[in-house]
Formats: sequence, C-alpha cells, structure tokens
Amino acid sequence: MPRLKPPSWPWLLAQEARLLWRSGGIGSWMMAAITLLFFAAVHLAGWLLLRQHSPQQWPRAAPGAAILITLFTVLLVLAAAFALAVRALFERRDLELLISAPVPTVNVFAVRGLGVAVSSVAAVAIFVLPIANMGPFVGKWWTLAAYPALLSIGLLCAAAAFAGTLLLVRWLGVARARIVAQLTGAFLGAALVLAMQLEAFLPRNVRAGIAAWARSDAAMGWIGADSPLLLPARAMVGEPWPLAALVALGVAAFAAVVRATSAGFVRAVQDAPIAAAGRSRDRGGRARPFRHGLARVVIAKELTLIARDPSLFGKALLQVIYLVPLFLVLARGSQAPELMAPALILLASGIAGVLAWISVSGEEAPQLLGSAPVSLERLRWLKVGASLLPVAALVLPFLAWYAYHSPPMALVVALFLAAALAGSAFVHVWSTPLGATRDFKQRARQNVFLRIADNLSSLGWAAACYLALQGWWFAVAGVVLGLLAPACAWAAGRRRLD
Amino acid sequence: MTLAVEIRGLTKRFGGQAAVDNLDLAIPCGEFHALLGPNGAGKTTTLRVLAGLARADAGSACVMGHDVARDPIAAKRVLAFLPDDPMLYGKLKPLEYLEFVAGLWGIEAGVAGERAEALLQVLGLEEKRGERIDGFSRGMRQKLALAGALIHDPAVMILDEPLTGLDAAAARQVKDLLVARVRAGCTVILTTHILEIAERLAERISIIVRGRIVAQGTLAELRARNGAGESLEDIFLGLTGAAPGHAAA
Repeated sequence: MPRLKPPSWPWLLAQEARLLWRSGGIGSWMMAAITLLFFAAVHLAGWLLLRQHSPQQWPRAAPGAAILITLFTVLLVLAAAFALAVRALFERRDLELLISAPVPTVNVFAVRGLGVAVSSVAAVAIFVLPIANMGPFVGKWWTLAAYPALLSIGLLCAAAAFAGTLLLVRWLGVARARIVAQLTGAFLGAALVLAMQLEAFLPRNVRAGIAAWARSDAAMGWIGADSPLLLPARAMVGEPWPLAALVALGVAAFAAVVRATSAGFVRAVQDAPIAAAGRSRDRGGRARPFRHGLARVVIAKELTLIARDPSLFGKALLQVIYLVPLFLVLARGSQAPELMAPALILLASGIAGVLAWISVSGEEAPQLLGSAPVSLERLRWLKVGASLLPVAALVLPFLAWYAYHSPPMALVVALFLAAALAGSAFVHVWSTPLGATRDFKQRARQNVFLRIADNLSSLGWAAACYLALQGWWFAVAGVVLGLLAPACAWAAGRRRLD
Repeated sequence: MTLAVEIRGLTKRFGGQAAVDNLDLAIPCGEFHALLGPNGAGKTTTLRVLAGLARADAGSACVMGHDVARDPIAAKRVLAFLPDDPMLYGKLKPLEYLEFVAGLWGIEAGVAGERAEALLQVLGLEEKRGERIDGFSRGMRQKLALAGALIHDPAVMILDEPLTGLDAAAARQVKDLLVARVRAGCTVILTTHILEIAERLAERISIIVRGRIVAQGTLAELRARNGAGESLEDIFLGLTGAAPGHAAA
C-alpha cells in the first residue's frame, strides 16, 4: 500500500481499490489465464482495427448511429451505477465500521461514489480501453482520451444514481427505495430496447411525423453533427473541447452530489436496520399455513421466502422487464415468432437457473436441513422444483400466445421450454451443494463450471427449438448439447454431494 | 467526576414502538459497566446510538463530553464499538485489517503496525497473520474484531456480546485483557447474557427492560435492594419478570 496519510480520502480510496481488486474473482490460475487471453485478444483486435481504420471522424460522419450507441452505453452504465449504488448504500456491512470511525462521512461517501463510478463503466471499459491502449502503437494518441472520457461518464452516472437512490430513500423510506432503485436500474438497462419497440406501436401518421421531424433543421440540433448528445462520443475520440466539457461536467456533478447528499447517505445507513425491523414486523396478515408433509412444507417455505425477499423479487422483476421487449415483438407479429422462441427459452431458463441456484446454494439454515432425517437429494429436488414454479407462471402467457396463433408451434416451444427448465433443474440438483447464504457470493465465484454447464444447457435447448421450428434435423445437435450439460453436472458433482 | 458516557432522556423508536424509552445513564471514567437485559430490551440500540450508528429520536448521548449527534467525529475518536456480529474483510489478512482500522482512527502506519503485531500476539493470532480472514473460525474472527477495537487505544470501549463464540481459554484471555484496560483507565461497557461475566467483572451493573433502566448499582447495592444473598441471576430474573415464579403466575 502506498504511504498515504490515514484516514484521508486518497487513503480510503486506496483501501477501496485494494478490496475491489481482491474481490475481483481472479482466484485461480485458470481464471487468470482466461482473463489474460481475453485481454490479449481484445488488444490484438484493437490494434488490427486502429491500423486499418481511423474512427476519429466517425461521430460527426454518422451522428445518428453515434448518438444511438452513446445513449445505449450511458443507459447501460447508469443501470449498473444504480445497482452498485444500492449495494454501496444498503448491502456493504463495512459501512458500520466506517461510520463508527472518526472519518468525515463526506470522505466515505466520496470514495464509495468513486468506486461506483469506476465499477459502473467496467463492462464498457474492458472492450473500449484495450482498443484505446493500442492507439499510441499506430500513432493515434487521441485514443487515450477514452480513459478520462469513460471515467467522466462513470462519475456522471454515479452522481445520478446516488442522488436518485437517496431521493427515493427520502420519499419512500429505505426498504421501498432499495427495491425501486434496483428496478430503476433494470428499467434503464432495458429502456432503449423498449423505446425502440414502442416506436413501432405508434400510429402510422405519428411515425410519419417523427420521420419528417428527423429530416428537419430543428431536429439537426439534436441528432445532427453538432448535437450536444454527441458530446460523450466526441470526447471519446479525443476532441479537446468536448473532452474538457465532459470531464468538467462529470467532476462538477459528482462533487455537487457528494456535498449535497452525504448527510442523507449517513441517515440512509443509520435507518437501514429500522427498515429491516419494519419489514420483519407482523403486519397482521395470516401466516401461510405450513401443512404436513415434506414436499408441502419445503415448497411452501421456498415460495414464501422468494416472495418476501426484496432483492430476489427485484432480480425476478428485472428479468420480467427484459421479457417485455420480447412480448412487444411477439405482439407486433412483424418478426417471425420462430426467432423469439429461443430467446424465451434462454430468458426463462436464465431466471430458473438464478432462482434454483439461490434456492439451493443460498439456504439460510443449511445445518437445520442437513440434520433433518430426510434425503438431501430429495430436499434439493423440492427446492429446485419450488423455484421453477414462478418461472412456469411467467412463461404461461407466452405459451398461451403461441397456442392462440399456432397450436403445433406452441407444442414444440412448450416441449423445449420444459426440457430447458428440467435441464437447469438437473444441473442444480446434481451439482449444487446446500450452502449457507453468507458464503453465497464466494461459492458463486468458485462454481464457474456450474454456471457454464447451466448456460450451455440453455443454449442447447434454445438452438434445438429454433432448428426444430425450422424443420431442420440438426436440432438433434442442440438436444445433445442440452443433455450433455446435465450429464456432466451429474458426473462431476454427484460424488462430492451429501 | 468526569463521565465517560452520559445519556439523558434517550428515546429511539422503530416504527411506532419505542426500543429505548427516555433512558438515562451515566458511567464515570475508568469503570467496568455491564448493561444487562432480556432480548429486545434496547441494549444494542442504546449502544448503536452511542457509536453513531443510529439516530436518537429524542434526548442526548455524550462520550467523554462530546455529543455524538453534534460532534460525532470527536466522540468517535475516543470510542471503540464492537458489534455482536462484527464485519471483517474476508479478503484481508489480520495485519492488514488491523492496519486499516488503525488508519480509520488516524494512526500512522508505523505505529499501527507495531500495535497490530502486539495485539495479534496477545490474542494468540500471530500464527495466523499470513492467512486471509475468510478462513478464520468464529472465535478467531471475534478475537480479531476485538483487536480492531483496541488498536487505537480508546478511552471508552463499547462491546456488544464480546465473548460470543470464544472457547474457555480465549474467553479468559479476553476478560483479562479487558480488566487490564480498565486498570489502565479505559472505560468498558459491555452487554452480555452470561450473567456470571457481569457478576465477576463489572463494577456497576445496569438492567434495562423495555427500553428503560429498571435497576442500577454495584452487585452489593442490587442485592441490598432486592434481597441480600440473591445471585445476580435471581435479581435479573426478578426484575425482568422472567423468573420461574413469574412464569407460573
């Protein structure tokens, strides 16, 4: 660690960076090698790209596309910033230590905010910065402007996310604000796709009006080469004034939000236990009856906990938000429903995988279940089965739509959907050990194999469904892939369970 | 007499229910004070207000003369708070964790390193200094958290169930350490459900029920008021209404 004066904000920032680095998940040589290979490949691609092309003029040459990509990127970063702000405010338990220390809370808040700013642009940065790094090797130094530009976008989004979350805390209280902020982030992530789909629902004359406006001089101020919406794109390609403006805007917005809301931040942290107490209070409703019988009590317990877990509820709703564009596409009928079936399978099995993994691996009382006189495999089956029920309810409207339009197609989609969900269930039953909630994140990082197997299984069934709907015999390959993953899970996991 | 902790009319509500109800408490410097009470009596909430982790709805709380609401930094500088389920960074090593905590209290790295080494040795954790905390047992975590509370040499220590998860030898080690700190002038306030600890270590005891102090004094004073010869357990169960006689009634 550098010798910085404790507990100054640079010192706190250094501590935050160390913790971020250590919790990065590159825990094994295999993961380190894969990461290294990935970055080498992206750097090579960046070098090849910059050697043949010079995208410096691109924002002005194709402003429409540049604005669309900018909006998409900013929404993506903003969505990540909201998710990270919720975590920074409500989920990091070390806040108690930091708040009880004689450190100005504005410093703690600023460092948390910087952490959110950097982390929120990480998903974009891992693809953009390797390209930027290659610029100097081909004489294009301007590519390095991507560093301050991306950081400024991160600062702007972190400022918006912190301000938004703390405003929600003031309006709604901690418990509701947490869920609404999570959903806001998810909605922002899907907003552009939703907006593009909604545009197609507008009446013909309104769409014609929009098209006419887009060609007008007035519109050029917004979507033309001098649009302020192009500022981030122009900053990214190293134009000095846009870059200076973006950096100034990012730093000023971040500083203003930190100064204005640090007191609210402390109040939110202090009130978080009150929110928990409020949630846990008996609201007078009748408790769900836990009837006799292992299957009934386990399923009742799992469904009750899923319904009462705000973060799990948020995650499931997040997936539902991403299903909305899919539904809009289906309802329009302008694109082939055959294309939508694999997407539905991928999304449904994705939700099923998340719920099954949380249900089995995030058990709050693993010792209690482990000491019960019942087979652990049966318990795992029941838990996974319970977690699939909400997913089944979620896909039913889509299947009803398919059945209304084409019963044979509905049958095929239902068959492959059931196979995908069953595949996901098999993977988790056979290779996920019952684990405690407190070790959940650590296990999620360790069990890379499980995640790959689950994703491969879903991919296999989705591909098989699409190929079967096209009438291609090659669908068998998808089925084999779909079956292979649970088989591997069985072979790899069964021996170490129980 | 200088007061290490002075609480006046402290009230804290969760929803509509008062967890702490117009509570008054004064603890002089250098005292070993036990705060006892049944589950949900308001002990932890009172301590969290003192540590700046919860806001009081009414009343005031001062640590070494510093109001925790008006001058929180000054109050926190002289205070160490050990929660009942302390959070430790699993990815750090014990020395790194202690140096981090020391840094939060503004202790220079060189001094922090020396103190951390000494505390690890005293608490029998020196052999674990190269390992990450996420591999530690519950008892080792508790000892490390206690070391974190001690590293800035606080004037007032607030410990919420500090002996949870410790084996007999470790519990003895911690008790000796706390007694030594009190002899050196530190004020220790602890909550515990193990009444023998309060009986043996505490100079004065406060019993809190439904957010209010219902009894306070030395063990002898409590006995005198509630019937000489009674054990602390009898006094406690009598005052909290949890005595077998009460249950039967």
